[in-house]
Amino acid sequence: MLLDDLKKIFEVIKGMVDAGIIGDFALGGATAANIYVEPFNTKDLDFFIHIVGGAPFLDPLRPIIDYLKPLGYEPDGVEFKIEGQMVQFIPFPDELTEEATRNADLVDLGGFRIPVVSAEYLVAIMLKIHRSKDLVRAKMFWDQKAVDTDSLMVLISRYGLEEQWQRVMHL
Amino acid sequence: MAKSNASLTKTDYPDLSDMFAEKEQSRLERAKESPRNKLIALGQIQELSRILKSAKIVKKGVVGRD
Repeated sequence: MLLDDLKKIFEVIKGMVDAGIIGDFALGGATAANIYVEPFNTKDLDFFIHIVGGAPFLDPLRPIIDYLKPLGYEPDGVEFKIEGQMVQFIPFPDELTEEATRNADLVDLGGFRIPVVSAEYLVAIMLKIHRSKDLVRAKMFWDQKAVDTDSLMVLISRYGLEEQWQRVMHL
Repeated sequence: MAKSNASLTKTDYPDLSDMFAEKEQSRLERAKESPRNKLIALGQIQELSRILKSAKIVKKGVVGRD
């Protein structure tokens, strides 16, 4: 049942692309991480998105709300309930996330393909956010050899994440 | 540039700190759910994990070196 829900969610997102509401998008966050490492408990479906044409600074989800509401998908806090699943749309908060979305992996999820933020960019984003749980998860990627070291080091250097990386290495 | 009414461009990133704080709050609320609701959620999590573990990367993204 959940796979059908995911397909439907993906169709809704594709609909937003076709309607010119959003451009690049990719699955990110903890659910994306579960594709690359041993799973940890999460059912958060977080999609990084580029809102075509922009949005009011104080109401960054307005174009999404205006598109989804008539389809019966009401916002619930900062998420939307789509096919029984809570989905969050996150406009790019920074250059790293934008680059991560642009360079996403293409992943087959049981017969449909979806862009997913790659392991290296996920770790870089974890380092940038650097809550305790993010650093622990970054260590999981390292310990489970789920990242390409050279690519990760490029990102750590480019985004000035060396200090956070040292904290991960000492976990 | 005053940001209050400014339209976003691709290089003008929004401040999402309120959004992330609200998400964190909803996580805390979830932690207070009844054991029954937590069991239901756990079932969904396990189903999602099963789907994700069978995922196949068909095209690897590259790390931009610009």
